[in-house]
Parts: sequence; structure tokens; C-alpha cells
Amino acid sequence: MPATAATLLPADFLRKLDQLTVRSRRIYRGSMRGERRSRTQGRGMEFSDYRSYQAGDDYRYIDWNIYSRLDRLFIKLFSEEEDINVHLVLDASASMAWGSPAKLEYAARIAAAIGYVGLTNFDRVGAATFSDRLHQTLLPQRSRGHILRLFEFLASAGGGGRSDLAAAMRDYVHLTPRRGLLVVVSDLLLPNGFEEGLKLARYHHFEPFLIQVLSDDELFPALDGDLRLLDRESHAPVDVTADGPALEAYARARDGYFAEIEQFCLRHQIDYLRTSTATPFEDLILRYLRIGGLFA
Amino acid sequence: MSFGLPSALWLLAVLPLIVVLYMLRARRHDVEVSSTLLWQRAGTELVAQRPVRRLERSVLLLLQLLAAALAALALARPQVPLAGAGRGTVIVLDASASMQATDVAPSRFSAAVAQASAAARSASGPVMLIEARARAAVVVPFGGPDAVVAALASAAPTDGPAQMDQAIALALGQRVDGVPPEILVFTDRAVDALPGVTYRIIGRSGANVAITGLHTEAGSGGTRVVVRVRRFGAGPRTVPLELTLNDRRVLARLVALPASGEAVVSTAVEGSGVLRARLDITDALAVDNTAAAIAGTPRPRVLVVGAPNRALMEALAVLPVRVARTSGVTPEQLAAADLVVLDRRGTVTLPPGNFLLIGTIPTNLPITSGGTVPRPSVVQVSAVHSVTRYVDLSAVRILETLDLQVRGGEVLVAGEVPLIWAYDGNGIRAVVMGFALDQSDLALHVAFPIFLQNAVTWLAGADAVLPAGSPLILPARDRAAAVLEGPSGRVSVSAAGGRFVVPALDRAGVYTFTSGNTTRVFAVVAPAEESDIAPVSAAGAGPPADRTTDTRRLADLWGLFIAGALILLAAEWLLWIRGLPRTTASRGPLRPRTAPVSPRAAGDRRGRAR
Repeated sequence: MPATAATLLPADFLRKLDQLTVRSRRIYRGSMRGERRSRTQGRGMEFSDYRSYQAGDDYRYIDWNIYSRLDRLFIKLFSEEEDINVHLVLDASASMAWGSPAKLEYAARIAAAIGYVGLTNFDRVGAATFSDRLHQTLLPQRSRGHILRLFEFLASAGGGGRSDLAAAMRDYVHLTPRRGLLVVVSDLLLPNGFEEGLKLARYHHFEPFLIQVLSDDELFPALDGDLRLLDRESHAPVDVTADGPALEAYARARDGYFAEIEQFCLRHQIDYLRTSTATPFEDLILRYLRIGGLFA
Repeated sequence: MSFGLPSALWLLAVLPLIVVLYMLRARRHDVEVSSTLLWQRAGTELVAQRPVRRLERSVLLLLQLLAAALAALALARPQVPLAGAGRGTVIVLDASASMQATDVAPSRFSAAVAQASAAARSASGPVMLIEARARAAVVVPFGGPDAVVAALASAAPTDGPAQMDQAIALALGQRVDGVPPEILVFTDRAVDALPGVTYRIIGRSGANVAITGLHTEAGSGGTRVVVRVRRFGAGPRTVPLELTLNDRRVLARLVALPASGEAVVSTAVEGSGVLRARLDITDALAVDNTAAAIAGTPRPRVLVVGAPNRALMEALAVLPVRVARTSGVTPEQLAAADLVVLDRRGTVTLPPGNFLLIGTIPTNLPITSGGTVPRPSVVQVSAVHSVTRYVDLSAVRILETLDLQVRGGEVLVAGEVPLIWAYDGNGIRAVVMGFALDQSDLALHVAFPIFLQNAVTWLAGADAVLPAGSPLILPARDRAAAVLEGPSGRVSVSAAGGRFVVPALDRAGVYTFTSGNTTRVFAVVAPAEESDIAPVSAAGAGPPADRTTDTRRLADLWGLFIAGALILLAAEWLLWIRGLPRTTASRGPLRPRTAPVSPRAAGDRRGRAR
């Protein structure tokens, strides 16, 4: 049964998410004061540095302890806590409807969890779905009231068709001036490749976080005999004799593809997480996304 | 290694067929997958898109080929020779009259016995002895040589023929642990050369003089006697012939015989009794220098019961029988008759005796009538039974016949229904004709008197001369025992199934068969073909190779081959199972994996280090 906004994430799981925050490797200049350390030093709570007192500085930030020891006036600097922009880009191509549960459903729940964490921490969270182009977008907003809209958007995600990340990125980077964390959730079974789209995002100063979602029968296909495989997106046939050697060749191709993705992401400073729909969702969010550095 | 069924090796042709089937692509089933990206990257489509599969090294294919090859070889029954208990030996001993020839001292039969005993002693495996007489019989089954040697020591030749074909067929059917035995045939006359049969021909010369026939024919002036004397071998010869009647000389003369020729001596004798012909010579075979016959044998008494039938009576009148006719019959008349002819008497119950039934159904024999059949045609005539021998019924037309339904006996003439049927049992010997003489033109054909003569001879037992080796079968009527007195002595014969049966009369001479107050005298003569004693070798026959020392036996390997094929199939199945796509449950779920060095995670670690 397709998930709805109400059933996308259960309430008890949402309570567990309240303890998490979205971490950004880069520090972006937000438009409003948030709960995230900013490049701007000012009125935050987290001590950042000292500097010599200058006329006009707020007396409240003078460190009197240092003055008593050194007889010089120093101003304590605090990191300004600002919001960040979290962009959730969801692959809604036909291949994402594959699996049980469907990869798209699983990906929507991942995006919902990330979005929920971001919104509860006063980050701006936007979302978009794509296949061969950008389909729907939800502009970044920051408020808890935005959570329901985000969930509804993700629960209704769908589209079908072929997938083209580069075309979608070309549209998306010009759609919003706000740069920030770009979480791309896709199976990365992209006929035109994934590299150009991610490079485009990097070029436009987004910080991509790539989450690859696959189903187990894509990882270990349960096929046997002489088959004509029909691509769900392109409907192009591929004749295969699915015997032991063929499946071994598939496994080698799969592992090689994964290695390419890993090398690319490492080379371009892109965070990457690969998962299967068979992985328990809570483990993925609460454990592996923290290990991957997305949540703190 | 040899093969018991080499033709099954053609099944090996299935091997290239398996390869072709492997190379041919099967019809592919459409299966939808989320993406073919990884399959395309795997490169297997390059193989799959060809119309035929490239022949690659495949363990499964190799195992399939090996299993099929082993199965085909198993069907060919592979055999290997193994050292074992030794190959069996079957000794076939010719006990025919010609083996009494003395051209090999002391006689061919004695020499054959000596050679057979030596062969039995030297045999490494079990030995069997088959004696070829008028009927072949296993004298000693497979066992040690001592029993065979003892049986050979007590063996004696007969005055009759030998069924060598039957004896060799019997030997060819023997097996020792499934292995055909060595067959050694000791004879003076080989039949066809057969694989596994080794003839040891005994005899040197074919020179012989024999009485090949002694025939009597009753006439008005006494009994006409015809003696045939034949010379076998090169060169003419004159031999003295003596003919006696009841030991009284009635003829003595010299008979001049051309080389490989025959002379016929004919004379008339008065009176009745035992007639003997004798050649007063010494030659290789003595048994054919004498012959016997019965002169003045009383003619059988035939009683015809029924309405006057001119055709029947005239035909019987020309036969050597005494004919009487009556419209009613008494038990005394039945007892006095050797043969009773019942002509259109409806249904009758027959007492023990001999009967020719014309249009008459016996109630106590396994034959019934289900009405009549118009215009039946003669389709089949038995050429074996003595009643229909030389009887040509092809031109006979029948207006109507009884619808005979038989449950035994022997159908002699058949069309749409049985037309003439013979029965012999329970003291009754009968021939049943389904049609009356006035319902057919049989009486107008020459076959009719021949048929009547044959029927009278068979029914009344009028044979006075029998070839040696033939069985003696006489109706017992109501008698339980009889006495047979002949050259071999006096033996008692018990009735069984209404008949007296003596399996074989092996000795030539004069026999007296006494049953109650009935005495029958008949002669048994050696068959004329036994007088031709020239040794005959079959193509390929001769001194056999000494194969009795070969103690090997053939062991069948088909079971091992089948087991090997099954093991290979099991291995192929296991490999195939291992090659099947594995379920996710068997591999376990994929654990999420980040990049080998996740920039974000690395940053965390650096942060923690600070």
C-alpha cells in the first residue's frame, strides 16, 4: 500500500529523529538565525575566537578575566548560528518503482526523515522529484509547519519514465539561488550516467550527498535460463542466458559499477551511501546516516 | 572389452545432438527488470544475441556428454573377460545308427565316447552331456566331468536317426553364469557351422551296402515282397541276399550293385508272418544289413454304420480293409471292428475305439455343432498330420457343412469353420468330417481315396513297419496295461490318457505288442538315410581350437556404467543447483555502505581528533 503523509514515518520514529541534526560539511551563509554554526561570528552561543577590542564593540563581550591577567581588552567572538538549505532530490523514474518495498517508497521515507530532521532544526528544506527532467519541486522553507507539506510532497512522488540526473540538475540549479546540502536519492541506474549531474551540482556550490537505493533482486537477480530482459524504463530487450557464469559476470559488473561510484564520489568530495530496501529503515536513518556523517 | 549388443553403440550419435542442442538457443521468455544497465555492463548480451551459443568449456555439458556416453555404452552391454570358474562345455553326442559304423575301430560311437570323455576330463569348467537321438535330451546337466564320463561309458547308439539340429539348438541355449558354453559335437555328420560350435567329425569311409527298403503288398497270389539294396561308395559289388519268412528261407540270390547304385529284388511269398531280409556280408555298418517286415497282416475290419453310401463303400472296397455295413450297431460289432464309420448319424456317444464320423457329432468329445454353414471354402489343410498328408482338397466344392466348434484336438482342414477335425484321447481316436459326402464333390476327386487310406491307417493303426526312433502310440481302449516285446527285451506299458505310448523304438527288429487278447506284430527298421555313412564336415568345422583351457568368463559392466551415468547426472545436477541464482535470504541483506573514505565521515574523525 503506498505511503501517505500520515504513514510515511511513524510517530515514534519521528520522536527518535528529534534528537538528530543535519550536518553540513561546508558552512553556508543563511538568511536567518538558525541553530547551525555560521561563518559569521556574532551572537551565537558557541565560542569561536578572541580579538582585540575596538571602539564601538559591545562591552558585554569583553573577557574581563583576560583583562585582569593581561591588562588588555579582548572581545570574545561567538559563531553565528544560521540555518542551512537542505535540498532533497528524489529519483522518481520507472526503475524506482521496482522492488518490494518499492525503491521510490523507501527513498521517499529517507528524504522525509532527512527533511524532518532539518525542519525540526530550523533548516530550510526543499524537495524535488525527477526522471528524465525535473518533475515537481517544493521550494525550501523553514518551519515545522512545512513538515506536513514536505511529507505530502514526498508521499505523492511519482512520475515514471527514464531517468536523467544531468537534465534534472540543470533545471534545479537554476531554479533556486539557495545553495546548500543536496541530498540525491536514486538507484543510480542511469543510462546517461550520474557523473555529469553531480558535477553540475558541485559546480553550482551545492554539497551533494548521494544515497543509492537498490532492491535485493537487483543486487542478486533471481533469474535462470534463457531470458529476454526488458528494461522497465526504456523497454529495450537484452538477451541473457542466466546461468552461473552469467550471474557471476553480473556480480562483477555490479561491483565494478559500485567501485566507479565510490571512486567518483571520493574524487569529487561527495558523500555516498549505498543501501538496499531490505535494510531496516530505522537502522539506515539512525545508524548508517550518522556513520555517513549526514546526521549528528 | 567386448559388447553384448554392439548395435546399441549407435546411440552414441546422441552426443553430437546434445552439443547441437546446447548450442542452439532456446526460446527466450520475456522478463521485466528494473534496468538492464548492469546486464549490459556484464557483457553477456554479446553471447546471448547470437543465433547459436558459442561452444564454451562447460563442466555441465561435459558431464551431460559423459553421462549420455556411459548410458549408451551400458545399453551396448559392455563385457570384460575375468578369471572365473571356467567356461562351461556342452558335449553333444551323436547316437544315430550311422555311428555304429566300424570304419573307425572299434566303432565311430566308441571313438566318439572316448574323445568326449577326454574332452570332459580336460574341461576346466562344468560339463553337460546332450545325446542326439530321435529326440535330443540332456543326459547329464552342468556339473563335474565324472558324471559325464560315467554317462558316456553307459551310452549306446541307436538304430534310428539323430536330431542334431535339435541337440545343437538345445546346447546353444545353455549358459554358465550367463556365459555361453563351448559346444563340442561328436558326430559323423555335421550340420551347419555355427559360432561357438565345434564339430569333431568321426569316420573315415563312406563305403557301405545296405537294405534300404523291405516292402510288402498283399495280393491275390500271396504277398509281393520288394527288397531295395543300395551300394554306398565307389566300385561295384555283388552281395548275397537272403529272404526268410518265419525263419524259413524263401529267397537267396546274389545281387549285383553298381557303384553308388541300387538294386531292387522282388518276389512273392505265400503265407503270413515275419519276413526278414539279410545281406550276408561284413561291412562298416551292420545294422542296415538286415530288415524285417510283416507279411500277410490281417486287414483291418471296417464297420460302416448308416444309410447306403455308394461312394464311401466303393472307396473302402479298394483299400486293404475288410468292410461291413449295418444300419444299426451292437456292442459286439463295435468290439470286433478296428474302425467304425458313422455316416450321418446325428449325435452319438462314442465308446473307446476308432471312429470316422461323417456328418456326425460325438457328444463326449470336445466338439459341438452350431448349425450349418453354406458353401464353405477350403482355406487350410494340415500338411503335417498323417490323415491329410498328400491330400489335395483345393478343388473340392462343399455345398453345406456343420458349423463345427472345437475346443481341442487338431483341425486338419479349415475354411470359414473347421471342416475336418481329428481327436486322440481317452481311448478314442476319431476323425470328424463336418460335411456329408453327398453334400460335396469330394468323392469325385483323387484326394478322397488317399484321405480314406490315411484315415484308415491312422485310425486302425495299420502300420506294420515303423522307422527306428519313432514313438509307438496305440489306443488303449479299455485296457490298462500291455506288454511290448522286442529286440531290447520285454517291457510293460501302462495306458495313459487312453493310449499306450512308447517314447521311442530305438532298436530295429520285430516287436510284439500284446494288450489283453489282442496281439500286434510290427517291424522297426533303420532309416535308409542312416546307411549313407560318409562323414560330412560343415564349413568351418573340423578339429576345434583348444578353447577348453580358456577359463575366463565375461563379466557384464552395464551396471557399473549405469551407476557411473547416474553419478555424473547427480554431479551435474548439483553443479546446476549451485549455479542457480541464489536468493537474497541465502546471501543475507546488503549492509549499507558508504564510500571507502567518506569525506563527511573523515571530517568527523578529524574533528574528533581535534
